[in-house]
Amino acid sequence: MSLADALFWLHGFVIVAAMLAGLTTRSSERTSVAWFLVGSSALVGVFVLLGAFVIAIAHLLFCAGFGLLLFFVIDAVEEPTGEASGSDVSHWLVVLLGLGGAVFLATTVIGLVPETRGAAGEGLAAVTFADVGRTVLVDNGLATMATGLVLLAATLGAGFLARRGLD
Amino acid sequence: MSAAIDPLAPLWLSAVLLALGIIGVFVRRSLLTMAMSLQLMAAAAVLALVGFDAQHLSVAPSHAAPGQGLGVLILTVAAAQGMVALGLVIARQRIARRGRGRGVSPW
Repeated sequence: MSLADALFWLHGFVIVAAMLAGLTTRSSERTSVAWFLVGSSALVGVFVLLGAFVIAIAHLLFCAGFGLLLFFVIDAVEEPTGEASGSDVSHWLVVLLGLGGAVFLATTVIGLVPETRGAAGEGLAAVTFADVGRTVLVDNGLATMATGLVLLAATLGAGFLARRGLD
Repeated sequence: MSAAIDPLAPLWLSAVLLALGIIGVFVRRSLLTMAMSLQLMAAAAVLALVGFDAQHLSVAPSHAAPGQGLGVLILTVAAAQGMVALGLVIARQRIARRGRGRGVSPW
């Protein structure tokens, strides 16, 4: 088993463990921390290993934005159930944040090791933003336009749904 | 993709993530967790596409990355459905708070 293979399965193990931890806990805060901090950062590492740097950055931005929004909604919506004490939650948070930081560090190290740097390790042309942009905007222009319309409709619909309770 | 990584490995990992997302949707009762499970399923689809893309690039090197392009589109759609889900959660909470005094169910 090579170094890249071992790193891939290490990240895979962290992802699956974080997802299982998020599934088994009953608290939405813990689930979101496990999935959007630990699991997603490990998934970014997998994308880096596979040479998909553009997807890695896009996924990181997506998870950061959605995670922040999710924490805001959880804080605004959920009422304290009293099933978990404050110290219990903070213990979980510290452990999961530490795991997330370790995975981020591992991802950075992966980017510094040439033989594990995805496509570059095999002498292939690394996929750049220009390549993905050409694929998205030129080769799949219609699908991109349709996706933009879906996103616009979803944004308007989400705003309508969120305001509906005020009327 | 590095040749050291088994081409099937991303697909196996993607299948496991998809299964966990499906379990989360059907087992958990919380709307927030169901929304997060849907995001997980989208991430699994992106991982499968990136795996296919890496395999394709290792066989036929080119500057076209259809898997990663589709992955960007899937991430966009996932963001859209996540926003709708969060809007639904807020609307449900407001309806529940307003109807609590009158014994009205939010759904």
